[in-house]
Amino acid sequence: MARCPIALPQMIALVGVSISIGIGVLLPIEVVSDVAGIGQLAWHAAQARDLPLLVNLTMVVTFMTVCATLISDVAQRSFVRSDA
Amino acid sequence: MKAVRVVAIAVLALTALTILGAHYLAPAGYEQQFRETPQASPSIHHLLGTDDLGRDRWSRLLYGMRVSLVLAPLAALFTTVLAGVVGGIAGYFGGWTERGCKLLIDLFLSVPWLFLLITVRAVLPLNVSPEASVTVTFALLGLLGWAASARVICAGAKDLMKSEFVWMARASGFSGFKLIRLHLLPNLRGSLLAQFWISIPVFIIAEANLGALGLGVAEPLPSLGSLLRELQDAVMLRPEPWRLLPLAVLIVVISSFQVLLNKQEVRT
Repeated sequence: MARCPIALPQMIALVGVSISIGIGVLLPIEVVSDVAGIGQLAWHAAQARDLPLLVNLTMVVTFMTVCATLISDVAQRSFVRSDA
Repeated sequence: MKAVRVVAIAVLALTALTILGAHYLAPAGYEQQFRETPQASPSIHHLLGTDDLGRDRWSRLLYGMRVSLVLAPLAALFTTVLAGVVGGIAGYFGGWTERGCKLLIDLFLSVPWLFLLITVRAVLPLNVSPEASVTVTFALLGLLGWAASARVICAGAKDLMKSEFVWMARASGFSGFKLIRLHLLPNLRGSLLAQFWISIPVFIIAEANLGALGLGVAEPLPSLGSLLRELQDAVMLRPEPWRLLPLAVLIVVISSFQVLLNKQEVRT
């Protein structure tokens, strides 16, 4: 790993953050462009006042975000350690 | 670059004047229906025509700007105070308190705010009044948006607590409150102000997102977001391009904010 780019750890951290932002904006994009997915499901659930579905969807998305952050954290640390 | 900045300031000043004078500039109330002329084209009576329900679009745009651009800074103020309190406490006490606050910040950062917002909006009853819906929407934005700012404030406060003049002040017997008032707050003012200015365009866009989805401000009250709902029947955009004006206003205002922010250099 001696030849890995210097900015790689920071890039990986950025990927982790970007994934959470990307999942967050799923909702308007899926509703506007009429693609069936988590975002549209949440929108329909909000309009039908389907609270259990909404809470579960929020939990699922939070879980995905936490996983993405965790993976990027671990990857980042492994690079930093092998560099040192 | 300076010319761009002057233009941005001029745009924001003009917007502020428009908001203040909305009552005088608008030819009709935002909920007043002209039932004889729905979907009218622009004319001397209706500068931007009327919508499906016969309401004057120009008046609705003016009042919508007022709702969005007055409440977004209020929400930003709220979120900055919240960030200052949580970040300040974390940075000032350190140790376990800091760890707890950091955990709270991480939790708020990983929750998808858009999903959470529509969840809370869905809890509200359907017949909620427009005033209540607009208050709840912006209060939620303020409540959810503080985490990123708090992290910055926390780092700043922690650095300050380690600096020599704070050591000196503590050594000469300054109490906690006096230390915060005389040393921490004045030195953190720059980053607090920066967080405030960064939050405003973020909240305007967030409200526009919610409004365009139909989950923001309730009818008949207009906001920049709920005015975007008219763009959903895209077929009508080519014969009636003046429907795009709310979007243009949104883009111009947000761009002006960003131009000013970039220049401020304190951006973190």
